[in-house]
Order: sequence, then C-alpha cells, then structure tokens
Amino acid sequence: MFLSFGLFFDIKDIHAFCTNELFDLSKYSNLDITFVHEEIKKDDIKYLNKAAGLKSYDGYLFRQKDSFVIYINNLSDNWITNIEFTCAKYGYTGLYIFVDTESMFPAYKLYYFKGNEKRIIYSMKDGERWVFFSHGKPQDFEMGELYNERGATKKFNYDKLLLFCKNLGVNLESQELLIPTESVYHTYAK
Amino acid sequence: MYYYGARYLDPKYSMLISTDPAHWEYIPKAPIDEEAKRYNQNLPGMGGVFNHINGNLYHYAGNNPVKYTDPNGEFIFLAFSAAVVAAKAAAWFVGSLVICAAGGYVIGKTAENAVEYAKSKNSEKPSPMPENGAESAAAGSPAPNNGDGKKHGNDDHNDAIDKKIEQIKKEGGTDIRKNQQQVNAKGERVGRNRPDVQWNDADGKHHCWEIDHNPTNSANHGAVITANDPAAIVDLQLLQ
Repeated sequence: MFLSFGLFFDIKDIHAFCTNELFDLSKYSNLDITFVHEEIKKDDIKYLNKAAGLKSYDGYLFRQKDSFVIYINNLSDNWITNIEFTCAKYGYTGLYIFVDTESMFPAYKLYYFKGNEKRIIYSMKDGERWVFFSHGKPQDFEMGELYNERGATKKFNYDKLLLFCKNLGVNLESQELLIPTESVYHTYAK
Repeated sequence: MYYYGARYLDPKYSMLISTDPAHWEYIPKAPIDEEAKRYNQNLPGMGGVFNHINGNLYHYAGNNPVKYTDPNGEFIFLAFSAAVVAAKAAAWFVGSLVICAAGGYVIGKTAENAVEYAKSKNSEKPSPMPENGAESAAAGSPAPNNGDGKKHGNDDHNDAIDKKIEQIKKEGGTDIRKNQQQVNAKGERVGRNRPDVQWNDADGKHHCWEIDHNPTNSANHGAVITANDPAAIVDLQLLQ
C-alpha cells in the first residue's frame, strides 16, 4: 500500500483554491506549473502515487471531496512544507498522510495542522531501525495510552492512523477518497 | 540479539545464528564439466571460506590495517587521513569480524546489504567512504521526516539545527530531512552518513548542511557528503 496526500478542511471552493495565489506552487519552485481542469482517468492515480525514491515532478492533482480539498502528487514529502506554510499563514486546518508498506523503508506518517499548531505522529524505518516520533499537543479524541506500547510499529501503525483519520471525518478505506471519479484540477509542471 | 537486517547476531557467542543469505554465491559447484570449473575459478571473494587466506583478519589490508583501508572489498586504498582511520578504527574492527564470520567479502556491510551490493557492484560505483557503504539507487530511501525528528546532539547543536530547518521551511524547501541518511536530489539514498539537515531548494538542487564544534569533524563530514553525492551543495558551519 502506498498513500501520500495532503488535505485541507477549510477550503471549500476548489476553483478559487487552485487559481488563488494561496497555493501557488510556482512561488516555491522554478517549475512552470499550469492548472488544468480536466477529466482524470483512474489509472492516473497509479502514476501519481509512487513510492519514495522514485520521484518525479510531473503532476499534481487537486480535487474536492465532501467538505475538503484533497491534494495528491508523487512526491514522498508531498510538498508538506507548503501545506504547513499555508495552514500557518492563513489559519487553515490541514492533514497530511503518508503510508508506505511496499518499499524497503515502510512508514506511517500523520501530520495534522491547525493554524500554527501542529500534531505530528509517525513511525518509520529510518535506515536500519524503526523510529517513532510524536510532537505537539494530543487531540481530544486521542488516547495517550495508544502510544505507550513498546516498539515503534506497535506505538503507531496503519490501524492507529486509520482511527485518527476517522475521528477527523476522513475515511482512508474509502476508495473514492483517492481515486477520482469526477473532473479534477490537474497541474502540469513543464 | 542484534538484528542486522537479514540475520540475527547472538552476542553471547559472537555468532550469527543463521546462514548468510548470500552464502550460495561463495560455494563452488561440483567440478563435473568445464563450465563448473570455470565458475569455481571465478568465485567472489577469491574463494570465500574455501580459501584459507580469507580467514586472516587483516588480509583485506595486506596485513597492515593501520596504513591501508579497503572500504568496498575490491581494492586497497592508502589511508588518506590518520584522524579518519583512528576515528573509524572500532567500526572497522567490528566490520571485519562480521565478514570473517560470514565468509563474505564486502567489508562493513550486513549480509542483506551484501546481497544488494553484489547485485549492484558491476553497475554502481561504490562510495570510497568506509562508513557509508555503496547503496544501490533502486534501494530507495527512508521517507523524509520534514525536519521534525528527535533531538540530535546536545542542546546547542539541536537548537541550531531546528533554527536552520525553520528558515528552510520559510524559503519553501522540500524533502527536508533532519539527521537522516544522505539522499540525492531525487530522494535516493546515497550513503549511510546522516547530515544534520538536508533539503531540496526551489531549483531542485540538493543541499546538505552540517554544524560542528570541531573543524576536523566538519571537514570530514564535508568530504563524506561530497564523495557520496558530488552534485550536493555542501554547507559546513562551526558552532561558536
């Protein structure tokens, strides 16, 4: 399984979002990025979601799902800096998920931004060993004892990440979440 | 028990408790035909455990491990710096022991990586730095921690790193890594050393930043980073 996406809860209008300077990717890179509103085939998602170490900078995908804007690309860090920066600057709430169980360096990462506040929990194989990291104030729905078990993968794994997201109203098990069925905003980097 | 990726080491007996996954590469075939004989003459590691000279602890460096090093198991290098040799002596010793126990030939690498190394050594130029180990680009890399990692070093050192990361984030840096194994601009692991901070800038160039108290350590860090990734932009700072 490989999941890598960012998500904004507060942004309801995808058109305004994609064309607004708020999320102007070109501001942070030398890439000439064009936003295109078009149909995306289901297979494109495979192209977008590639494991770390196989990066390319060709495409980004924005779409509106329920009450949030979801943002997918094929970068292992998914421009998380940009998400963090946008949330901090405009007081938005955002989420970033990274799950990789396929490569030789598996990882379960969750970054939850609420304005300037951030909650980070991850366990990942960093080199030869697993590491667990937790930062920020625990949310109300979190149970502290969840992270008390011995071993990084027991402290935080896919099940616990799933639970965290469910509490935020994001169902990772839903196929509709990541596979677009309607038109989306697709960006091209030239 | 120590887990080395492919095998467990039992410290009580100083032994790996299972066979080397790469052991079949070192075992000769029955000499039934010319092809088998040719194969046996070209075994890796000059015959591995079947060549008694390979049991010699310091043979890898011509019995002079103080003067020579052999980081990739293929050629003997004249040690370029006495300081580096002294600093790495302990690691080398352990690495050598592992190799003798395994009958392997790739110094300082675990059995798992030895397999990868054997597969990639014909196409990949190995790193000259002993502590890094040449990595196949296809091996991937750990996910970036976005600069949010555990405290590294003492308070001064860690504070300086966090301050630098904050600055990089404001400038829109991506693939930010705090104290993670060295990668290149594509996020592929190129070494096992852990620069204090790594990131990609807006131009897609990869930066490695190190901050040290000691100028010698700083210079060594810079040499390792450049050897692993000549394209990396290296920035060495001294902690006042």
